[in-house]
Amino acid sequence: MTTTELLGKVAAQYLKDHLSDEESAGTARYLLDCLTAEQTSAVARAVLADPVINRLVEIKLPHTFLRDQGLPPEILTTDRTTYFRNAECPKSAWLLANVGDDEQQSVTELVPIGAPQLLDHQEIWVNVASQQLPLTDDHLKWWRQALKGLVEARQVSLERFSEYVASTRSAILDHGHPIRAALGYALPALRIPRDTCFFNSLNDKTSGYGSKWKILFATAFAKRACYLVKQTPTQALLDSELLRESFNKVKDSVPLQCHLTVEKFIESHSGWNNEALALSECEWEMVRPIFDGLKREKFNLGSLPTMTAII
Amino acid sequence: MNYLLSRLPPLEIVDSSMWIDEAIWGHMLYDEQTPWLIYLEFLNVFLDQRRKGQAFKEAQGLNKLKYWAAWRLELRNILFNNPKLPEIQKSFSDDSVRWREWHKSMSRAGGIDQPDFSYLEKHFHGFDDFADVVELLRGTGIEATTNKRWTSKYAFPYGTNCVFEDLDHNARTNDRHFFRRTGELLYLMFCRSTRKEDLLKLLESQMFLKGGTWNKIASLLQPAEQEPKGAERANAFLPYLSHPTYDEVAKDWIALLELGMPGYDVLPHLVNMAAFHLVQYQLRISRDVAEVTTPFKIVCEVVAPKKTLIREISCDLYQENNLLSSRAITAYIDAVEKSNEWQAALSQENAFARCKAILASRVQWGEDYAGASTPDVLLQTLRSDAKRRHQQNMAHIHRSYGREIGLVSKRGTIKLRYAPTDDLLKSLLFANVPKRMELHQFLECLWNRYALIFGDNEAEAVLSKDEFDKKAFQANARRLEQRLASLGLLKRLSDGCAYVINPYARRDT
Repeated sequence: MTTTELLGKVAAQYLKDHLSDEESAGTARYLLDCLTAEQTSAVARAVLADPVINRLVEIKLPHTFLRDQGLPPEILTTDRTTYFRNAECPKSAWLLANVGDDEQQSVTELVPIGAPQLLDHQEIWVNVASQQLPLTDDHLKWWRQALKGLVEARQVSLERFSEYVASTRSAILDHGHPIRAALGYALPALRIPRDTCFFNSLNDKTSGYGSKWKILFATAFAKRACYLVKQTPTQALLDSELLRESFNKVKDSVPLQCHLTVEKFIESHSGWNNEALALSECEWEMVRPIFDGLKREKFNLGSLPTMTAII
Repeated sequence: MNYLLSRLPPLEIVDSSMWIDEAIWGHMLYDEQTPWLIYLEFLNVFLDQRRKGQAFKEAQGLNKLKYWAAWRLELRNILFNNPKLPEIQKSFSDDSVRWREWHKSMSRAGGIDQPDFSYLEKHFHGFDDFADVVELLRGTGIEATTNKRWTSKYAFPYGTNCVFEDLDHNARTNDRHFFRRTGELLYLMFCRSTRKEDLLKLLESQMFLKGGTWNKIASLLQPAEQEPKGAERANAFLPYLSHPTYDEVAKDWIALLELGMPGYDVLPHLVNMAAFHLVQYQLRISRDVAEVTTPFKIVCEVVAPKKTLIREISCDLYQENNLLSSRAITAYIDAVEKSNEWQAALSQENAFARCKAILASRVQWGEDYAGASTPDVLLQTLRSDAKRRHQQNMAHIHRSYGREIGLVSKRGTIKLRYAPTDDLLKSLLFANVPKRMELHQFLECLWNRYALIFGDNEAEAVLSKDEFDKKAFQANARRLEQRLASLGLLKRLSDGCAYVINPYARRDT
């Protein structure tokens, strides 16, 4: 399942849940609110593929916005979204789109489906992403709580959030990781170094609390993600010279298979780039010594022989 | 980027240990010279050249600027080296005693061989008037409340009688501690701008040059005639004959001056825009030298009550931009290494001596080099020396000026990011909105001219899809709208259109 497919299915599921709530209340009007063209078309495809929602929802999306997305012509329209505010609907609900243009103020009364709504419903993401995965109810709960913790720890874009969920699913399906390990394995999707064991500090009980996950995500963002863009947690620059010096000191502690990746990372420019991505896909414990080597060695004045003699 | 191909030759007499930062950005951008001090230094140059009838003309040739800056030692001693004044005013009631005591206290005035302040008694009705004037002028001074030495404190530039340069602690020679040529660079930028004539006309008509009441009052604290002291200032260097920033900064100053703001209200905006353009100048040249091809962008957060996606993006971009100047240094040295001249020297006999000669001629470095005699080590040493030197001052321009003018801030977080203050927003608005402008047009204008991003339209065009969130940027633009409205600079009319308004717009525009 690709990132965009996942997002489309989640939005379709969100719509389905709301439709079943409001089926008897007349014509409903839903608005795909400021999603990108790819995301909007993925939602449309997911709705068309689901016979239940498709039966209930009439889709009318702006032709100019989506003409290159390969969608069936009958769901595209040249009419403006405002036209459908009071147009008669052949089905239970309209599914329209707001592309953030001059019509935006005129469609505020429609029910929005956008990034804030989708990010607020972690259970839908987990339900959709866990299909065909061998997960227990507890594992599903932990996953939901983890996503809740993530959203509270840091604002991430819908695209990146979706990529993280899809990577987690892939880690379970393709690599056979249990849920906590899969969430650590998928961290590069959030631009954090991969650490499969990162969430193992949570036990079966604490994994059920979003606040515990939030602390761990916040720690990972603050104390690890910065190194991938060659910065310390206090925003100080790590230049190539410093990193090389540190790498030379700890070379023996870094597994040989990571050496080339590390070398390329050191030579690359600062900021997020392919070299940073490659490094993020190395296990943190393997590359951590490079960044630990940057810390100043603790120095105990009392242990100095000359100082002791003076005292 | 064509301007890079015609970099001007270095100065004949170089007073620096290498010529890399200077070759890229000029001699020099200095982080400890605050925006107000840049403006004061600019005024020093401008007033001297104007007196000689050659304002904004490089009459002696490119990068041959020479000028005299005033010292105004009497005024400075009275304002900033005069601690006994309040005590004398309180201790004695009779004016003649007060004057006598005060003259006694000023007998060792800094930098003046034979202090004579007797002219003051003719200029003021009484000692109280004199003390009040001193108190007022001192209160409005620049850097007046800091603990800097008295020779590094300045009067507010009310007019030509209030402008003087930085001096050493004895007031015997001029000093480069705070007037480090950044103001001279600004002057040279105007000299090479295509709009210098328009700017000159407008500057001539300004109160701070014509001389208002406060300028006259400041003149009363000084003797009628003052001899020029110190040496002639020279060695300013701006490396490019033309650059878009030269015209952009002139355009903004012209727009601000044309508004005809009352009194000295325009000065803070001129100062802000000058420093803002110097930041832009450094970043844009760094990108061109380092051959960065991604679009230049400055995502600005309009501060929100809690963390937003914009804040994260803005923090990341701030860091990315902050490293650009270091990348430019690396790229500049890489270019020397890749040059045909260097490569040919490597394959010849006595490669080390040839390479050393190349570095001596191109970056004016290597005279004191005492490392291994191989070209690789030589170049490696240059790299680390250049980076170390760059980190001392030039690398901090973006952060230092950014914070001074209110572009960069830590408000609400522990990280620096772009979060413009009300003052900077006002300066930007006054410089770009002649009368009124639709909000989206204003945002587009800020993007086109300065690469500033507030709204979703501009962000969508340049951010990657995994960073971009339309709703978050729309909310950011909405917060900007609310902030401008609260400042009285925006109105949303009944047709739903939000208009940015310039309250200083002239009626005839």
